[in-house]
Amino acid sequence: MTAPADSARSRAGLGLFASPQTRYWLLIAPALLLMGVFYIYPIGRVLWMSVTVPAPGLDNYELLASSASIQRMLWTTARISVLTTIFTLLLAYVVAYALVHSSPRVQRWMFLGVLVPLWISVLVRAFAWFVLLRREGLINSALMATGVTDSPLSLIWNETGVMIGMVHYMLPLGILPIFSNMRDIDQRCIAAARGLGASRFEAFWRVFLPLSLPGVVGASILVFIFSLGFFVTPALLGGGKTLMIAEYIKVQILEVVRWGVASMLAAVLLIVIGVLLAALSRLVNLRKLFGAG
Amino acid sequence: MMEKQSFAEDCRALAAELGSGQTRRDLIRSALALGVAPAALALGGGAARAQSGKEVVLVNFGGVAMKAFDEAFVKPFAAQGGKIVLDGSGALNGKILTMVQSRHVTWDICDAGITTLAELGPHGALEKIDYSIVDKKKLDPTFAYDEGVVNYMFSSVLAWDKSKVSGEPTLADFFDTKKYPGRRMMRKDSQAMLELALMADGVPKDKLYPLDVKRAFAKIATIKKDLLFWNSGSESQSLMRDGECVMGLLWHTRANVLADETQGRVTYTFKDGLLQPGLWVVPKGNPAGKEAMRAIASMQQPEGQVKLLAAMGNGPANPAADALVPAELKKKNPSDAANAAIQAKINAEWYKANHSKTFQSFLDLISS
Amino acid sequence: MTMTATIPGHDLSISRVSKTFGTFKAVKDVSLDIKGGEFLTMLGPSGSGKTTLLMMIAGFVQPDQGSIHLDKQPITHLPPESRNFGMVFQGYALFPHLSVFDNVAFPLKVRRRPRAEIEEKVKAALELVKLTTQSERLPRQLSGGQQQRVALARALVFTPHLLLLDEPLSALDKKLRAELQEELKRLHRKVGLSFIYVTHDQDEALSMSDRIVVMSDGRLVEQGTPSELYDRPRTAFVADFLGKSNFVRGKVESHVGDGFVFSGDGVRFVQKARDAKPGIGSKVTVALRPEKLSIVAPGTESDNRLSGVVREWNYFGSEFRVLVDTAGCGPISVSLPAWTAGNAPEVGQSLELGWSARAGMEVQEA
Repeated sequence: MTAPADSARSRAGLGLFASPQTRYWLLIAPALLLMGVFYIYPIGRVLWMSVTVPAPGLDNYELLASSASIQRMLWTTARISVLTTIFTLLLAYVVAYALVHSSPRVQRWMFLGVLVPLWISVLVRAFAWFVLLRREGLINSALMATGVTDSPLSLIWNETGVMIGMVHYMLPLGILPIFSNMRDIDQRCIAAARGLGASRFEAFWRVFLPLSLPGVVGASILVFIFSLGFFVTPALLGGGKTLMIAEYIKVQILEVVRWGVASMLAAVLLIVIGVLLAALSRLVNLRKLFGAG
Repeated sequence: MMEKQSFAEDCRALAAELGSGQTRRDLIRSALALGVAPAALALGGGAARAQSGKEVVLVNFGGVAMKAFDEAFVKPFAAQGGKIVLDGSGALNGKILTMVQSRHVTWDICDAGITTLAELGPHGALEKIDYSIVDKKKLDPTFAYDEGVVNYMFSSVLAWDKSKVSGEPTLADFFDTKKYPGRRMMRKDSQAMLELALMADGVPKDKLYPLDVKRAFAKIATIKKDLLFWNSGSESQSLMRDGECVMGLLWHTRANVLADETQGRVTYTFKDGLLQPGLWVVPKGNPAGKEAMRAIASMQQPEGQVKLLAAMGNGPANPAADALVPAELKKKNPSDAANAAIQAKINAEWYKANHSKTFQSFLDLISS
Repeated sequence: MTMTATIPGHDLSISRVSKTFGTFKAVKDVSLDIKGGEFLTMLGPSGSGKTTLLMMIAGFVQPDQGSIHLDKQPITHLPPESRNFGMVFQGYALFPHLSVFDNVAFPLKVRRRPRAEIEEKVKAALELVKLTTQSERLPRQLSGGQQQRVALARALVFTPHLLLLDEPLSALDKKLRAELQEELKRLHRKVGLSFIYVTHDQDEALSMSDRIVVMSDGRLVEQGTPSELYDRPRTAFVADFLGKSNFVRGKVESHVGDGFVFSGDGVRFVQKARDAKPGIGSKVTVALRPEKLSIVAPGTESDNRLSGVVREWNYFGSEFRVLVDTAGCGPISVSLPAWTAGNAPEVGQSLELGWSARAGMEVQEA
């Protein structure tokens, strides 16, 4: 009768690690704890504050309906985010298309060009745009020297400037998901379309474009979410006149100390992003989009 | 992150730029000065902690201001047997309030301003200044408040680009785009900007308060499309230096630097400026207790304050310092008697009741 | 819908085309004529240039030199969509986002045909390939064989001038492949178009084609009907690639009747000449099909005899394959009908192989 004794011993030896299930839970426990303490708890606090500060109730949320300034700020945020997303996607699509159709050698250089901006501080990039776009900047000087315009164009200190800066920042975020999707498109399908009588454009329109849509949807939600929370570029290139939600929240927390309003807006942002991500996960494979697939 | 800077914060940034001999076009350094550095320093700054009741933790915005504060304040206090420990992590309103509310106060004295008084006072987050220890005779009593006391003076002034503006413009000209066409800039804050707008509109400088906010907003709205709003001191400096704006309302410290680096192309006047105090505030329940008051009293000595003026351009708070200021620094000193006489003085009481609401409306005005 | 009626085929003429990719010469000076209605197979190992040639016909690859004509009209530089050729790709290349119906309707839609015509023609094309119930499904919901049928219907629905097929059956298992080979032949007879079929599978080529073009190393090596190429190959390459062959090499010693005697390594053989008899002393290569050899009893009459020892044998159901180590001619493979299994030789046994002077094929070394 050695078998039962063995199993009893091994059970005693494993102790806590009784089933593989428990063991895996134990392995991720530290990470879960870390997440709980440093992520879930603060977010919970923010949500809680949004209904308790300065007084319990939904007063803070009521501002969404009653405060013209919050509505205007939300509208600005939404408008700039939508426009940024549209322009980013148009450009990203063209770049991704060129990337997919380049030789591996050219592709490597193009990738470098796409990725290098990611490693440069957003502040530095905003200042680089400042150098290019300002009244006596490179672009206006060139336009006036060549006689295209007589007076400098207002390319900065307004929503145009904000958009240029934001689209530039978002481009890699738009290009990568679209590229990864385009790379998976079977090129023979495009050849087949041509062989079956479709012109270059029609093969693109009827076959390539529909097949690349999952990447476009993924990229658009990603870019839109990032745009919603954007702070530095609007603050720097907007001439102080473009007030988006992130800056608004910052002012409420650090300057006028209206934490209830700030946490309400943070909660709104959180919910909007959560809903968008849920929609995204239904439309495309999130794991693949973020490179885990 | 890039945030709207307080004057105290900008002192640090400006000192960093001057100390490093920054070139005119060194934009990357400006970017660092703008936002990245305070955040980075905040990580290391928290280390300074009061070990006993005798050690006083003084929070400023770090950088080269650390060295200037050390010379001006820490060493003299040490000579008197006290000890000040500097912490460069920057005392923003929200940070102080978090500390007080969580009953884990590690700061004794914070380099702050009127808005700190206005925002944190109502929350009961500040200790009363003990004027039995801090000497009211060594300061302009206008700037001695219950929960904060002046540590240095600064000014919001009108600057202009002589290559684009002929003659000597007035505040009224700042709002007259027909007379002087071109873009202008002001700070992205209601403080000082409203006062200057009202003076431009004809309100005498000693009858500003209570501020007629509506009138000020209406005045600003007349030139809104020609206005830019700066966040940080270095941003205001580069906008003028690079010719983006023909006129601007900015801090005198930045105006001084601009005048130097543009060889006088950009110049400014203290006339109809707004004289504002930098304040020492003490968070409620500070670890060093009354020792903080003794440290503040020590920092009232004129010698240290003159050192700060020479290093960073901050005007001495003690009128007795005037006699010690060298002649070439006098015209750059906002609290110099001659300069102070032609400026308005800020009224903290009004801000206590109105800052939050007014600033919010100001943001609405400029972003709509 | 006239798909069941015979459509007059179109003649395709390829004249001296070459194509180089970088330093790789994919196709070297190939000329080929394809008659209307013909089932032509381009056969060759991978890298032989057959697919490149097909892509030049389709218009996806531009030849560096040479020209291609359809019914005497030059089409060398016409883009693929203007050639009106049907094409079935390796792996089918169905449009994954379109239903079966829309896949098949695609060529008609890009030709802006009226809706009613599209409905009618798609239905007929799907009937033609015996796929009528799945038209609303997406390609990934179909089996490999069904996908193949969709690809065929899509390539035929717009009445193309000819049909190009690039290894269309290579992804299917053996049984399904045989079934679809039958299907393709039936379709070919029914629609009467020229089929140009690329494969590396010799059985497929032999069973389906009117004519086979064998390619190797970018060149057209040999062409002919399946039986011409199998029974009377002109080159050692074709003799070996199309079915298996043993090779016996030697020098011509004398001429006899309609043939000649040659000897290799001391053994003397008689061989019927293909055309003119080779000169005395010249080198010859003779290919021998394993199934044309037999084991002969000592003393039996045979044109040629070769003795050897059995190295190994394998049973293949319908046949035995015996490998014999011979003196002078190396290992020779012999195929015996399985019904002779009773007297299958043992490993190590000595025996004599025999064949007639007409069984061998005089071939040229590549």
